[in-house]
Amino acid sequence: MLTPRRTKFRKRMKGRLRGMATRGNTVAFGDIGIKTLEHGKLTSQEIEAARIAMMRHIKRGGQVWIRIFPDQVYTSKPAEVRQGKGKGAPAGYYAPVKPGHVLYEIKGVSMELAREALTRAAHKLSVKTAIVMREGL
Amino acid sequence: MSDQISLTVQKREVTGKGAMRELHRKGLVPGVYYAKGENVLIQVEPLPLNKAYAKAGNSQLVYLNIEGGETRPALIKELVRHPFKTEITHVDFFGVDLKKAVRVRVPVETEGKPKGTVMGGKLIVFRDGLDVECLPTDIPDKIVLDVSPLDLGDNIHIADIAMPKGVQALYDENFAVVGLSAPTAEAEEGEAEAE
Repeated sequence: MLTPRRTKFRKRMKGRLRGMATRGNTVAFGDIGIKTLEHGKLTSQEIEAARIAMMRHIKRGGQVWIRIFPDQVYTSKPAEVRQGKGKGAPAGYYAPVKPGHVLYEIKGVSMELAREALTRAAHKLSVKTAIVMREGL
Repeated sequence: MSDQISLTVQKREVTGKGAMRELHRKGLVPGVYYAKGENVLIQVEPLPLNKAYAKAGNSQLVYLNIEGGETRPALIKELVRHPFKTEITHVDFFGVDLKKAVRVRVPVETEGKPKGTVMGGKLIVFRDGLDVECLPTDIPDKIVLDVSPLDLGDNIHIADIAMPKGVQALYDENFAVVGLSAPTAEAEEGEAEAE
């Protein structure tokens, strides 16, 4: 699973997600990819689950790019604990995404296979997504 | 060269954020045409623009007809889309002189099956596009590379590629464009892990 190697602080403030992705909103490396259509916090577990679903479908050949990294920590309190007594313990990491951010890209496999693989990956994610193609060249 | 791609656009008088939003609401795309010593604000219908861009990309000539005036050859320099909707926000047309060479990036396409694939080799395209310099009328649609003679570990370098007549590749280092990589133990491990 993807996690930061080290962090400057153990815990962070929650913050809010606003606006749209002004960077990382085009397919830059592969031929086809998926982009998010809404704000969300993708945990390292779901990023990994989506990657595995995709890789299992394309089997061999092809190249995959993960365009997000879960570098933000989230905390949680244990079950059956009263409120107060300080912030909970770090529970995992998430990647904050804004509408338009490209999440995964694929290259080197047929378009049908890539679409199917990306659809399977999208089912593992907690945000609405759309398949996008590379354009320009 | 493919068939001539033409596009009709209108001149635009209005500028600024509010006016552009109004233009988007009307279903038009604001843009600009610029050439040496000339700068024309334009607006264009999105459907013909999308069709022209799908054909021409950033490397092929588009013949612009600005409000019934004379036809001007241009390249689509930049096309800005909404972050997640398909609509086009803005378009830049770069007017070219047909007698002067231009620098463009042309897509690379591979042809054939490398002979090293039977031994588990994997074809890797290192460069999707190549920077070339040529007259605007000589810009090739794509550069086709025959990869069938590639064996394990072989690469096709930029210097090895025979460019079409009048086209010159631009490069400082003789980089590899495509290659056939041998299967590595690490890659096999990675695949097993994914399983």
